[in-house]
Amino acid sequence: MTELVVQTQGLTKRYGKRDVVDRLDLNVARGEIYGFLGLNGAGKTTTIRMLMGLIHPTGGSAKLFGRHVPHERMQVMRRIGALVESPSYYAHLSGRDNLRVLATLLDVPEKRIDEVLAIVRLTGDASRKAGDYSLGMKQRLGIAAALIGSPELVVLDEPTNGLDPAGIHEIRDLIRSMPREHGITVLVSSHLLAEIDQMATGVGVIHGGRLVFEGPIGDLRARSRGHVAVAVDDPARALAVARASGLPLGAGEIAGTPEGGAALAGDAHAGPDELVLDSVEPGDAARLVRELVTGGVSVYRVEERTRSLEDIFLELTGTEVPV
Amino acid sequence: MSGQTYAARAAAPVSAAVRTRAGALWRADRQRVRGTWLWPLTVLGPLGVTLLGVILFLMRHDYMVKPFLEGKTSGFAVATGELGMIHVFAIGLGAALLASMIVDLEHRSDTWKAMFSLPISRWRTYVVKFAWCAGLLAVSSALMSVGYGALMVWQHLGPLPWRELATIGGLVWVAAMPLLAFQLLLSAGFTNQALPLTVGILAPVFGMGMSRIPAWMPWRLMTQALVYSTGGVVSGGPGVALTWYTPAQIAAAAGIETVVLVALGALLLARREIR
Repeated sequence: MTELVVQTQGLTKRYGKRDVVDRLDLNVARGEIYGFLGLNGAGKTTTIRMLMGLIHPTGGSAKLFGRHVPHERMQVMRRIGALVESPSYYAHLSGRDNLRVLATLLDVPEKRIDEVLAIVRLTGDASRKAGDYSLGMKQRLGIAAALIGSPELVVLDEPTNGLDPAGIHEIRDLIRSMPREHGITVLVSSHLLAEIDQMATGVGVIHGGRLVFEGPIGDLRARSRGHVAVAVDDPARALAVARASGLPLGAGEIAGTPEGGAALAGDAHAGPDELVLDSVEPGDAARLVRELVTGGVSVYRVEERTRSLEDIFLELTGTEVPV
Repeated sequence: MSGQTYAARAAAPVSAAVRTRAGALWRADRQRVRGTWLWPLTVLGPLGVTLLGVILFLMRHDYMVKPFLEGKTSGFAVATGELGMIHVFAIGLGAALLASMIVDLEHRSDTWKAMFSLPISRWRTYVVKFAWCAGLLAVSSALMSVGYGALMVWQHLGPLPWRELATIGGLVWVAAMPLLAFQLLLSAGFTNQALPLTVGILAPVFGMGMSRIPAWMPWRLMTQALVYSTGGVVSGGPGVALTWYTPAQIAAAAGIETVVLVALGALLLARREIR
């Protein structure tokens, strides 16, 4: 059985009357790159702060390596490295001296500082004051700080925030290499689906404080497979014919009709009077058209549509796409 | 990179619950304060007071030295008579500034969250920061005594009274501990240091000379330490001992207040939500 490195049950954080994190059940397995995805303000950072023992949950529980936090945090925090929100650094100290402070606190040898500086490619700038670093360098320094204790779990909260494309690429490669090369489990939060898609093996989608999806990234991708929309003159009749054909229809089957509802939940592009075939097999589309025409339904248009991961994310989070 | 995984390398320290020792916290703070104004301030405070003494002696030499030459007062009383209150105020102000600077390092760089994501005890962190400020203030107090001694040597005010010099530095320092603990409590509690610093500057101005507030209050306690150390000189002339507390009572009151205030500050930091 896979060991769960992070596990929360009904984790809740309430500020005033608002549940910022609402009964969250999070499961991160060892060796995984877990993408914690959510819009800004969805509750990602609050969740991470609770995992780090920085704030106390209002309800539920959180376990790291099987130990309760915050009560047993002292027993597990040595196994964890974290970059919570923006990188923290002493502006008056050099990058190396910033890491030296952490090395002293964690009782790790001086050579480890050189190692992590090399990992994040800051060796050449190690003597410069951290306050003079670019945003990307500060972010890399933050990641170096998370790695300095040779952790088994690295928690990175929006690590690519404010980085340029080259910086994002670099951080992404670094994160991808962590489980493979160093046996590290990574929990990385982001509001960018594309970013998570490119590096995560598992994903949890949080919205309004609630976990609306959790599973392998492949499951999320499977939802993006295409469908065929068929515009017809008589939706009710078309639906009856299509049902009789036994072909796989979309979740809502017909858009814009009372019995059909949405063609597919959240499919913002499905127009009225469109039959949705939940298959992109050419044979299926041809058969459906044939059945419809034979059944006396006029077919105006047949169109293959694919849903991007972005569409699925918006569907999961119930967010409207601005027109 | 070696083939060994991070997990494997981390395994040894993980085998037992790892807590950061107070020594490591102390060393980490030493690394943090490097390049800040904490050390220069520690030296500049007493240096400034001593230089003020130099100016006073240069401008009012005859008036100040006359009682000593007439045998009415000791050389030590001459050196501390004008500067004593400034010394106490400087130590009080120093306590406020040191406390503010040492925690503002964390506030400004938003490093509380990074630090407390490590296996670090919050209360130990707080106590070590207090210890650092107390240590720096001890250096200031020692330099203050050295300054008095230097003025006495320069003005030929008789042999150096080692005991009195040690007492004025030491006892004022002991009496300053509750004020330091109070200022650290304020500075750690507020991200914006405007309020702690305003209190740190204004409260000694009013509190140290105010006879209406209880004698055990931090500001009054420092004045009492000075009064005892100078044999009452500061409070109304030679031989007039207006102090209510003996050094043992001052130390006891300071000790109790310091423990309570540091414990309260540590408790508040330990319970605080780091957002």
